Amino acid sequence: MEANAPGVAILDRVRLPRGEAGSWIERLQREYRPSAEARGLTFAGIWQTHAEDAGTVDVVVLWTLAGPREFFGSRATSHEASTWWRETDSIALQRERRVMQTIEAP
Amino acid sequence: MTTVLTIVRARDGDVDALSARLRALCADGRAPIDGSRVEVHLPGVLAPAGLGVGALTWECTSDSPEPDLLGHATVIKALQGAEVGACAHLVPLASGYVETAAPLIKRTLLLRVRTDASTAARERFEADLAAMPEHISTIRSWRLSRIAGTAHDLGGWTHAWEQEFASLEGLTGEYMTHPYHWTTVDAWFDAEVPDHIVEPALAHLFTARDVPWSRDELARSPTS
Repeated sequence: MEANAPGVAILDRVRLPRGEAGSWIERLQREYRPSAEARGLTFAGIWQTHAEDAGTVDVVVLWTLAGPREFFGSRATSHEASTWWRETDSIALQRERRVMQTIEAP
Repeated sequence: MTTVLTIVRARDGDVDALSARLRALCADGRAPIDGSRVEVHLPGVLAPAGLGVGALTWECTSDSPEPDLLGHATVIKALQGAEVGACAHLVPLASGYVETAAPLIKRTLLLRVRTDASTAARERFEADLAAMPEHISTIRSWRLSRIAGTAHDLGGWTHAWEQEFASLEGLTGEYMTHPYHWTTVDAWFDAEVPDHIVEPALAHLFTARDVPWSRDELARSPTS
């Protein structure tokens, strides 16, 4: 990690029909996660909403990288994952990915 | 004013001889060339086959229309034995001038915005790129252009994003590591981001530059 470079967090937020959420999370863990980790991403966690009356589930997945150089290293082949995301987009109601920098404690 | 970027490779590998022929065109005076820079790509560039190391970028300005420039007999002769890998007639959108002493590094990014991108998305992308110099201090003079898409344009590139840096470290360091780059601008390029609009194939080129862009040179760039 480069000195003084902020850490990188990648946040995926996917809104899925309730009936699709479980299988999507299983595929994320089985298919996407190993390829993402091979590209240098560290899996930090996954969360979901659980409203009883909702027809949808929001899933949030958080990844981290040591710094921007590691981020761009992972990006070199990230287009190979686009097929996986296209399949997600075919069932997802909404999706966003945000790349963020860590905030240093004051 | 017409500005054309041409990426050329000498088929025989003699990039110095090709450079000399192209440089001589300006002095020769027969071709309608107002200004010309011939700059050999440095090791480390990333580009599709034929555009990277071993090729050069010829930046040429003229008061004549592009066909009169590239179709001129002396230009055709100078390019004999060379392979033209890309040719881009620039339509500058925005530019900035910062006085910088030579020598410096000139970086050119050629990219293709997807044909299905909306006009609004394309304009937001262009605005994000053009804002980079406000955030990244190592960018000195710069120019963002659309590529006209004329019959002479080759390679299907839609945009040229050009910058000068005082040193290569300015490009490989702050430019690449600044959070504005990777939290904001890169999302337009990242195939994993649903709103990305840039195709994955890029030409990331950089060269040594002996004579920086002048304020007049950038100001002469038309806006349409």
